[in-house]
Parts: sequence; C-alpha cells; structure tokens
Amino acid sequence: MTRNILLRVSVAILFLYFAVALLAPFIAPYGATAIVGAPLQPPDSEHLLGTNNVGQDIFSQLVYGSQVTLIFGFCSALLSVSISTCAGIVLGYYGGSVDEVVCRVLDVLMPIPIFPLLIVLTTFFNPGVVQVSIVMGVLGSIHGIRLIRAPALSLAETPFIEGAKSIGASDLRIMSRHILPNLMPIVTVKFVTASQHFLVMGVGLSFIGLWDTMTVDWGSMIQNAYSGGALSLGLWWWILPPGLAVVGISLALALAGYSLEESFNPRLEVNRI
Amino acid sequence: MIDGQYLLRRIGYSGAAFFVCVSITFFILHLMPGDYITNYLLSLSNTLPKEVVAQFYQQYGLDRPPWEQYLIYIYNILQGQWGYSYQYGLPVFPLIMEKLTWSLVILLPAVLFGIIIGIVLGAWSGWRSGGKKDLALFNFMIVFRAIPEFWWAIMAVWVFAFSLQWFPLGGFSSISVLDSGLDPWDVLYHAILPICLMTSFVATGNYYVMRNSMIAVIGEDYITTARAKGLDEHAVLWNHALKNALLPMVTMTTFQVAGIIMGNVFIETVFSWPGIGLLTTEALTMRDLPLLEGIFLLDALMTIGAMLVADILVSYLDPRIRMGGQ
Amino acid sequence: MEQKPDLKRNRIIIYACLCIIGIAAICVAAWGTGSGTAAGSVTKTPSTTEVIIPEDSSSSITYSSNMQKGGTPPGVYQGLVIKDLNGTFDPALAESWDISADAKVWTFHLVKDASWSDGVPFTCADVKFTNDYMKANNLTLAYVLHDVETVDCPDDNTAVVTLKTSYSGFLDQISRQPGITISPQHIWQNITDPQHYEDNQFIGTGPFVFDQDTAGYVRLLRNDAYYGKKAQVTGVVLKVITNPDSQVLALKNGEVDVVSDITPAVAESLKGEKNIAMYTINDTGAYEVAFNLGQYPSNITAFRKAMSHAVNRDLISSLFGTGRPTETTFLVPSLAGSYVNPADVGMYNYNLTEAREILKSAGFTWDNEGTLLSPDGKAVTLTIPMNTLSSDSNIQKIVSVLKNDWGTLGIKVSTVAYEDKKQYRKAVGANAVFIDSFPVTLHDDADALSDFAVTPLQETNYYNYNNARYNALLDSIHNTADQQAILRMAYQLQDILAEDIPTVPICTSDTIVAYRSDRFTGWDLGPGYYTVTDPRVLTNLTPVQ
Repeated sequence: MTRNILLRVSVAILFLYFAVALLAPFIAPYGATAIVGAPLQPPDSEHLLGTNNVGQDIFSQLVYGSQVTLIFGFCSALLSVSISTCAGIVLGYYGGSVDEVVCRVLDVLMPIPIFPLLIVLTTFFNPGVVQVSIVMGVLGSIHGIRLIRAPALSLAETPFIEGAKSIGASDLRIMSRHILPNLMPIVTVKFVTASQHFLVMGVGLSFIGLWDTMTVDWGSMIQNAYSGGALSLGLWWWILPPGLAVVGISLALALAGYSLEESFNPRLEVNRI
Repeated sequence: MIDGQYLLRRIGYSGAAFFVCVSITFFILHLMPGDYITNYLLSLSNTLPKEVVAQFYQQYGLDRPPWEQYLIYIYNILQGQWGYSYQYGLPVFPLIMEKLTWSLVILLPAVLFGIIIGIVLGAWSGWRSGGKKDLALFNFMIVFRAIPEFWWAIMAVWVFAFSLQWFPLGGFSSISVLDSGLDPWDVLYHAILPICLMTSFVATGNYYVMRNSMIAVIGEDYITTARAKGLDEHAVLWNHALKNALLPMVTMTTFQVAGIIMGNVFIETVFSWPGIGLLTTEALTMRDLPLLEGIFLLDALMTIGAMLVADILVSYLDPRIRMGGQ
Repeated sequence: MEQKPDLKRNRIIIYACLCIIGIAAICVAAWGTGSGTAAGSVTKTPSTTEVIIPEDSSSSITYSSNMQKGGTPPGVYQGLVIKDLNGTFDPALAESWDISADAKVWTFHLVKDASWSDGVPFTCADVKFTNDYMKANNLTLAYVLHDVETVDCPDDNTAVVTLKTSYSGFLDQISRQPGITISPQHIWQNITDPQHYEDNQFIGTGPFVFDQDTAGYVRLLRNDAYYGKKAQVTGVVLKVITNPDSQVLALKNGEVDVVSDITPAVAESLKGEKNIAMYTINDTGAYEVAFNLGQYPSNITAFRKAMSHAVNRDLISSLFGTGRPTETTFLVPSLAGSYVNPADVGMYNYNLTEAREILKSAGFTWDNEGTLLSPDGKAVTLTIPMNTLSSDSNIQKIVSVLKNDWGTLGIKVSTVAYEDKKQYRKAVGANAVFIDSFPVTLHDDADALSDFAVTPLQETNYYNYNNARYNALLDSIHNTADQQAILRMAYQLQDILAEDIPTVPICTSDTIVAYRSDRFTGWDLGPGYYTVTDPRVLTNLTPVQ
C-alpha cells in the first residue's frame, strides 16, 4: 500500500518537473541568459529567487535549467537502456559463439574507467548536451547488457519459446513479441534507475565544469554559485535552489525505481548500473 | 581446491584483456583532439617560429606515426618504463603514487568501513525484511543515496566547516607539518569529514545489494526447509543465509576496492583534497598523455587484478560456478 | 551436527569486528575534536614571521626545474631584468645595460656581489651557460632566446648579448612571462638529461631559498646572503586551497595572510571586518570584441564600424564590478602611458542608433520580424566561440550583454563552447567574432601592437588582419632603439587600427586583494601587474609589531 502511494507521489513529482521543463517559456519571467537586474540581488517580488553574479534571474535560470538537465538524464538513460535491451535479448536468444565473443569483448571493456573515459570521449565533440548524453548512454549500456542477457538467456530456453519456434515464428517476432514483453518489468526499472543515475552524473559533470559553461543547467548553476562566493557570502538563494531541484528529481526517480521494482518482483536486483 | 588449469587459463585471459585495454586507451587518448604542445605554446605566445614548434613535436616523439608511437609505448611499459609527464617533466609513476596515497587516505577507510557497515546493515535488514525497522532503514538509505554526493559534500562543508567551524576547510594537514613533520592524527582530523561522507555513500550502495541478496536467499528452499526443521533462527542466519547472500557481494566489493584507484573527483574538488581524481581531470585538460596513460594503465591493472581475484574467490567459495564452465 | 562451534566462531568474529569499528569510531571522534582545538589554536595565533599565501591548485606548486619550463618557486630564481610599470625595467641580476643604436648588441652590467644560495659566486659564465645549455638541449623555453646569436663574457661582470636581427623589444621578451631566469652552471653542467631532471634543491640567486614541499605546502626561507634588499619576513609558505570561498574563510580565520583575486561581492562583505584590509590592483586584465576579418560579415568594414558602436562598455564594466571601459584602440592607458595615442581615445561610443545608421548606409536592411539582412539579402547570424577552460565569468557577462544589444539590432548571436584550445582556435578562425581576454602585460607598449601584424615570424594573426603599411611600420619599430621614433610610429600604428577596427576594446578588470592587516603591511606597491607572490612584494612586506 505505502509503496503504491510512494510510486504515485514520485510520478506526480516527475510530471511536475516535466511540466516545468515543457512550459518553461511561459513560467519563467525572464530569459535564461538575459541580464535583468543588478548582480546578487536578494529575492524580492521582481526576482523570486534573486539574481546571480551576472545579474540574471535565478528563478528563470532554474526553470530553463530543468530542460537541459532532464533532456540529458532521460536521453542518455533511454539510449543506454535501448542498447542494452536490444543487445541483451539478441545475445541471450541466439547464444553460441556470438554471445561468447561479445561477452569477452565486454569483459575487456569493463576495466576501462568509465568516468575519465566519458570525459575523454566528450572532447571529441563540442561539449554539448546531446553529444555528451549520447556518449554517456553508449558507455552506460555496457554494464546493462549482461543484466538483460541473463534473463533473456533463461527465457529463450523455456518451453514457451521453444513452442513458438516450432510453429515457425520468425526470430524477430519471437524476440519482440515473446521475450521483450517478459523482460519489460526489468527494463522499466532499469530505465528509471538509469535516469536517476545519469541525471545526477550529468549535473556532476557540469558541476566540475567539464562542459559548456554557457549552458544554463542546474550543475553549472551550482558551480557558478559555489565558485562565485555563495558559501562565504551566505547567499542561500543562489546555491540552494538548483541543488534542491536536483535532490528533488533524484529522490522522485529513486523512489519510483524502488517502488516499481518491488511491485514487479520483490526479489529483482537491478541496482548495479 | 583450485583447479590449476582453470587458474592458468584465467590468468592468461587477464593478460590478454590487459593488453587490449591498454591498446584501446592508447589510441583513444592519442586520437583526442588537441595536444599538449599546442595548448602549452598558445599559453606562451602567438608568435612562435615554425621550426621551434616542429622541434617540440619531435622532442616529445609526437612527430612519429601513431603505430610507431604505440609500439614504443608498449615496448616501454613492458620494460616498466611509464614515461615522463609532459607538464611536470617528472616520471609518471611516482607522480601518480604521490597523489594516489593522498586519495587512499580518504578512500581506503571509507571503502572498507562502507563495505562492512553496508553488509552488516543490509544482512540485518534483509533478514528482517518487511518489518517496521527494516522499512525505516531501507527508506532512509534510499533517500540518502538519491542525494548526489557532491551536494552532500557542499552541504557538509557549508555546515561543518564554514558555519560551525568544527572541521578544517580542506587540505591534507595543518601548517605545523612544515616544522614537526606529518602528524597522522592531524591528517585524520582533516580527512574525517570526507571519510565519513564517502563511508556513508559506499555503505548505502552495499546495503542495498546485500539486502536484496539476503531477501533472495531467504526465499530459497533450503532456508525454508532449515527453518521448518525447527533450527535455531540464528543458526540458519549464520550458517546458511549469510554465507550464500555474501556471494554476490564478493565481486561487487572487489570492484569497489579496485575502483578507488580513480579517486573521487567530486569529493576532492569540494574538500580541497588534491588527489588522483583531480590529477586525472587536470591531465585531461592539459592533454598530458603519458600521465593519462599511466593512470589508465594503473586502473586497468587494478580492475583486471580485482576481476581475477573475485573470480578465484567466488569459484573457491562456490564450486558450482567453476563446474558450470562460466 | 558441527554447526554449533561454527556458529560460535562466526558470531565471535562478527562481534569482534563490530567492537573494533566502534572503538575506531570513538577514537576518531575523540581525536577529531581533540586535535581540532589544538590545530585551531595553532593557526589562529601564528608565532612566526612567515607569510602564508594560498594557491589555487596543487599543480601550481608542483615544481620541476627552472631549465625545463620555468616552473619554479617564486623569488628563488632571477632574470637579468624585471619589467616594471610604464614600459621601464627594474634591474635584477643586471645592474644596468647599454643598447647599440640598431638594437642588436645588448651589454648587461651584472651585479658584483651576487652568489648562488649554495655559496658559489654568480658570474657572467652562468648567463652564457644558460643560453648555450638551453639551446644545446632543445629545452622548451629556449624559444625565448631564439633571437640571441651569442652571449659573450668580456669579464665576470659583463654579459654581451648579440642578437641575430635588431629587436628593440628584447628586454620585454626575456622579462615578461615566461621569461628567462639564469640557472647555475655548476649544478647544470653535470646534468645530461635536463628534460627529465627533477630539481629538489632549486639553487638560485633570489631573495628566497627553497626549503621544503610537504603535504600541500611549500615553504621558502629568506635568503640571508641575498645581495639586494633582504626580505623582512623569515619565510613564505604557499598553501593549496582550491576553493576561492575557502580561501576567504581561511583569511578570516587567520590561517592565511592574504587572498588575491576576490570578487567585488566578497570584497564588499569583507569591509568592516576587523584586521582585514584590502587594496585594488588596477587594470590587471583586459577584454576586447575581436573580429576575424577573413570571415563574413566581419570582412565588411562598415559592419565592424557599426558594431564598434554597439558594445555597451559601461554596462559590462559595471557588471564586472571592477575595472573601467578602455577608450583606446588597443593599449591599456594606465600601463602603456605615453604610448597611447590621445587622438584615438573615445572613438567607440555606445550608440545603437548610430550603429543602425551605419548598417543602413552600408546596404544592410531589416525584414518584417526585425532580422538584420546583409546587402545580398541573407540574415546575419553570429556564433561566438568560447573556450570552456578559460571562460571566466567576465566573458559570460560580455557575451550576455552583446546578445541583448546585438539582438535588438536584429542579429542572432549564439555561442559554441570548446573544451580544447586547439579546437577553439580553429573555431576562432572559422567565425566572424570572438571575445579575447588577455593579461594587460601584453598590451602595455609599442611591441604589443605586433599582435596585429604579419611578419616572417607570424604569418597570420587571429584577426586575419594584414595591412602592408602597418607591417612595415612595426618592422621599423623593431629595428630602432630610439624611443622618440618608437613613440611616433606607435601613434601611427594606432591610427591605422582605429581606422580598420580589427578589434573593439571593451574594458579592463582589476584584481582585488584582501590581507590581514594585523600580520603584515607593505602589500600594495601601487597599480600595475604585481601579483602577491611577486618577489618585489614579498621583499617589501613588514611584519606588524
């Protein structure tokens, strides 16, 4: 019961975030990069959360920043989960030497440290939201392939699939109509947890200043405030809002993930991304 | 107990994995756009004679074709020569080791305590799964983990160092180090805040996996049977449940231990603790290839070593896996 | 059957582990608070007369050797001269110098009683050795001495430097960053692999000697045998504090004695703080909107002229909080002094209407939505490349202001960021407009105007600007040591720039420094480019009481 309520609450929060991101131009009173006042003004009726060191409206930045952060988190999660699901099902279904080879390749790739590799690979493109989220999605899928492959492998050996094969169903059909639906719970949960993971990672990357500092997103907002003296000046309205926004969505995603996981199968184990 | 042939095959495989891993990182790093010399020279002057620039490329061996650089690199690392950092001109290995030592001051205790605390709490929580206490702990852990680690760090620094001033703002040691040498307790005092934070973070991750694993084990037939036989609850927990639930933790924890080699760039940034994580990002932005290659090489060594250890441990603990041929 | 003993053993192990963890935790907590008060009391009442200065990153105090990269502790090594304000030079290892009329032969009269910190006397042989050794070993910094043909030593205290070609800016070249410091012959002559030599003694001639490098600290001690003005502080400690906020708090706590480069907002908050004083070093950095004349629409002179009236320099410098609009074409008045041509001051007033008029008369039009169309009917859009590594918040402020103003002119401005300098430079070459920031040391004399020239050494410049008359004038500046002639030609160069507008200067920025007034005085040496670790500042410090 409580799980169900939690799930609903977190989905509601997620909807709220998405609504804000979609309706940003209508909600935000000013543009994200427009200079609309004196720098470092405390909150008042004109600037709900004050202004930053450039004189930009923090509330507007917060609203617009949701777009970048959400796009980043969900796109890379979608990409990563799609790749690992497709590859996992194919490997699990066909098995044999292809499976063996790919698994060995994955084994070899595993020791390469993901985080610095991610930074290295982003240098190949302009550091932009879309490019980094693609790189992140592809890299993140490596660990997911095994997760999907294992249940796909055991599913492929069930009499139910054997039966489908014997009546002449094509491989593609079996994979998409029979195996995939059975894996949907695990894929869904994986997607939600991956979104949370990537979203936080994206904000973190942006926080340590590894991409376009002109992009308005929560990570660069935190970075700006952190390096601009928000702590020593005690300017809570500068550093807290973007941080709390991240905490909020991260919590909602985490709770949604765990609740989903329990409602699908209390014994499921998908936390290892 | 351990099959010699299996061990041999496993080691041979690790060697191959290491070689492939090193080759991939070498080429990725060398294909990276931009190079150290251009960055460095641009920071000095815009008016450098062409022959001077060419001479620098030759000096660093960057004028050779990539495959030749690659062969030289492989030859060197086989000889134990890790090369010299571009930006410092110092040998790579001692440079990495110095920073790594500082990172380990935080990460080693954090990971060890984190693993122990996570496993103990997770086992307890899993054993009592469904109970009120378990749920309370579980929800607390979820909430804790959902908050990004750099945010925890910023908040911790703000509250404990800026506002309350209980802890130093960062750095390895107080200034007395210059007169009286390094005082371990003073270092610990500087490290305690990041250690606590990292410990909690590692612990929550392990807690979650351990709890799940425990729940899975409890549902197994043999536990039900053992309980049905009327065995003492504790006896079942210690002898059956715990032992089996710990199996998936072996791989996970060995990877965590190996992973500390990369440091934690967020913690190091916020706590002014210049360790291996900051060294890596700095080497990346400077395009200090030998240093980067050294860091990646060390990491590959550690991770592949950890995989080997984990495999051997697991096959030792659970002979079924080895028999299965996987 | 055999479960009982097993169970007991397991239990004992677990309990033992828990006990150990518990004890460890209690110890840690106890020691934490215990040593906390101890450490606090030590740092709050510093008993020595050492000055403690924070450094931003650990790499800035990781020193290799002075031969390789010039990455050395401050105040340990010295060059022949130090550049001073207004284009003059302070003596360092050279007491005085003579220049031949064609600026080709430079005679340096060296200080007589200087010695290396290990006691060996300093002679002209060291100067000659530094030049010869750097070139023979292809060291990175040897390029600075590229113009040097030979160094001769008629006697121990005279060094005669002969250049390959005349070069009036030679002193500037060897003294400004990275510059050339003189290295001891008796140490380096035995070193066969200078590229990879790890110096750990740093034998120099300067007012400070290297003491040690431990756990994020570097300590330098006063050189009591120094030939010049001796320091009054007994030592200098550099401490790594990566976060600027933490540096400020460390200053308040008394853990450090000075913090450089604080933001105006922080400076405001420190006002009235007991025992903390502040001063401003004017014009330490400068910014410009630069055009790439090889790219459309910057290749249209009228476009550049119009844009020069569309840069709101007053707003930008007020957003900076420090600094002031630069009214001249290129040189920064407070440093370049008489080199600035007064006729070219104040040309680029901010006036969007005027900008619009200029665009209109050059054939630009606007469509119904207000988008600016070029004479051939295309919409004018601009992409400003940025370098994520060097883009300080000031550049963001500039771009934000430009976006607003140029947007009202109907120009869509977007940015693209590059993490890598090489890619960034490439993008600068492929786009019409870029924002340039530079330390003003590069814009303080006539020689700085060579940035706009095309010479045999510099086949192109970032502005893609190539004016034959300009190049010829600059060449003649390099070939004379006559100050009057240099000044006259510098004026002409600025007139040409004002006409062609390859760049629109925006403003300068200042550096604000806060220091503990209860610890040391003598930080503020007046305007200019002194940093707090400049040896001249460090030797000028006086402990309070």
